Amino acid sequence: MNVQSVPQTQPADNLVEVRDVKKWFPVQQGVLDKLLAAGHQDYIHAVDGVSFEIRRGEVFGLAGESGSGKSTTGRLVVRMETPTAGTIHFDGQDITTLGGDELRRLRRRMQIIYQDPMASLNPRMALGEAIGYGLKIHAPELSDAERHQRAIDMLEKVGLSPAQFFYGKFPHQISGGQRQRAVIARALVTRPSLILADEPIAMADVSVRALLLDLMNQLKREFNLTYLFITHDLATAKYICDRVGIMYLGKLVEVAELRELYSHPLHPYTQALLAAVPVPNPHKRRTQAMPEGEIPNPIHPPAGCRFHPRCPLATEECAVEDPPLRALRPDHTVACHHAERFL
Amino acid sequence: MTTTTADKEVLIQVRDFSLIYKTRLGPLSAVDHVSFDLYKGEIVGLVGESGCGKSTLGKALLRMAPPQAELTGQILFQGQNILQFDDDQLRDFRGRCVSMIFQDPMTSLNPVQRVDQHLIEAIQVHEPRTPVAAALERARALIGRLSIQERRLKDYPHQLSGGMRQRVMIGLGLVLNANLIIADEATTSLDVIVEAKLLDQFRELRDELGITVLMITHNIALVAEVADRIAVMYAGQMAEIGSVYEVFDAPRHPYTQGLLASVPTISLDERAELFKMGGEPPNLTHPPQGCRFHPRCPQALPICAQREPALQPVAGDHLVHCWLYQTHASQGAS
Repeated sequence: MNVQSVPQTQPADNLVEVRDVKKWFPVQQGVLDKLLAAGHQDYIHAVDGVSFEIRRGEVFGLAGESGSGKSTTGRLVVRMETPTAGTIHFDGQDITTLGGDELRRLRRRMQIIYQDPMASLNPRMALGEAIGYGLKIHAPELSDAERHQRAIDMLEKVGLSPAQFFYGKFPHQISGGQRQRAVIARALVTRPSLILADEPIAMADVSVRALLLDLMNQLKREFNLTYLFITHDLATAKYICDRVGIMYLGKLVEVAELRELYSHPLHPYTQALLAAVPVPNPHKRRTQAMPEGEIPNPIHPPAGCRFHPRCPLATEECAVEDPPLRALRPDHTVACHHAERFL
Repeated sequence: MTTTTADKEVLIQVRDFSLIYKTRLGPLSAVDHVSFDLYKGEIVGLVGESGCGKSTLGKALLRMAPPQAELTGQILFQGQNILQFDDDQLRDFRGRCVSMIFQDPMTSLNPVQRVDQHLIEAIQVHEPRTPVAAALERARALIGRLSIQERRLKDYPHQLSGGMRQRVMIGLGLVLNANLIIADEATTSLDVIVEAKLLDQFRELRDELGITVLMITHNIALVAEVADRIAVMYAGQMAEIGSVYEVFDAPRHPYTQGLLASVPTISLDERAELFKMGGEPPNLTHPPQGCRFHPRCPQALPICAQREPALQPVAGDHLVHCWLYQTHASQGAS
């Protein structure tokens, strides 16, 4: 795990800067609802005021439970979604409202790897063709032979060797791990700077996971990549992330370097999340009780701190005042009124 | 660790059980000559990678198998071979003795039936003479035990959270006093905190009601967290079985060793790199000769490619299916 030692003050070191970004999705209403509600519209507060930066060359992890907004945040960063409010900068450029050709040009530099490679690959397209397809769009000047060569090179790089053999294979003819390698190859063929990896190894078996993590680490070094790694699995995050942000109900509750976060979690939610992760050692079974209830409805999120209805430390202040992210330790910010007691 | 299996009551005995799927590509040996016991009041984790036969084996314990599958061997429940049950015996066995929970509770629950209707139906199917009021009373008592509020009985499945739906599924099993719950990836789609609470629930059921839980999962850390024993399957065969303490502390089968070393762990003091196991599981229409793991095994002996080892004890009730621990091995090696 190489920890990035870039000074935070130089804005040029940040590949991505996200400031106060919100994404609200309107709740679909039936005809009757519309008549009765008379102009009232509910929103799902999927992402509700999130700020962070992704430093060049790092793996920034976003972790949280389902419904925390981590995937939506990822989609906002690569502009698959347009924010409701806030700004997003990529490599110094404001991309918050970019559209059309400008957005397409940007896409060459940011690629996505999803959880299910079978759903990401066209079942009727040979792997080599699928990998070269991105170049057709982003590098139309290349000849067919050049494109073929680049796809072959990329297949070798992701360990699908001999590449000539895999070039003509279809997704159903190869294993799940090999499919995910093909998806990685397709993402890298346009030479992106940022990879959004949304649960890229969640479906793989443990032995395959280790290989994919290793591949992602190795490619990151080779291609100078920056990853936004979205995961619900904090144990997996340990093997790839440099820094981690914990999300809860549309808010970022804590951000720190990985070892710092795992050894000194300051937010009660982060503490619960870390304690809940099962450890493969029967001598170290969990003894802590888990917080009450489950993640609330994002249409009407709780006022104040969103975790307060489940929080063992909650006071009156927590029900009223939404805690801002505060830097309480070096390179470690947390959004909790009571975090001081864990310092 | 402290209790030995000798003083425990056997609930299910699986003896030399095989399941072969007839496919267009020929017979596929999904479960191959597996033998093991399940005791009363224990939690056993059945682990392995996709396609190792763990789900097939779990379903087979309820005799759920597609018609084109060929089942041989014995599955004895209280001395009776369930493979020979007729339809009535089987229906009774499935509800009252064993129940199963799957990964996605939404596909197991009826979306247009309320929770109380589910529970009452389950009771009345098996005990037709039970009046509704009595059935409802049992449902109420049960739901409280599973930490679901009573008003939730009037909810439809879509109104419940994922964790609550799984609790209702557990409830459907318990309402008839089943003594074995087979949980097939039952916590996989849940978030860690909800999952942790469900594990606590399994532990409680075992401690208070003496329920046996067979937890089928790909998540080995879960097994360390909650199970008494662990059974590791590879390519349709039982590779290793023993108490979680013995197996996690000193895994014997090279596959178990590799598997455990490739499990991510959150503790910072442990190794920074995961073990990377070479190769892939075999195609079960043409499994390798001898030990099915030998083509991937870093410690393979000449005999491993020729003859299959037996599942034999290495210590107490810790059994391993590997030539490294059997007498033939030394002869074959030298």
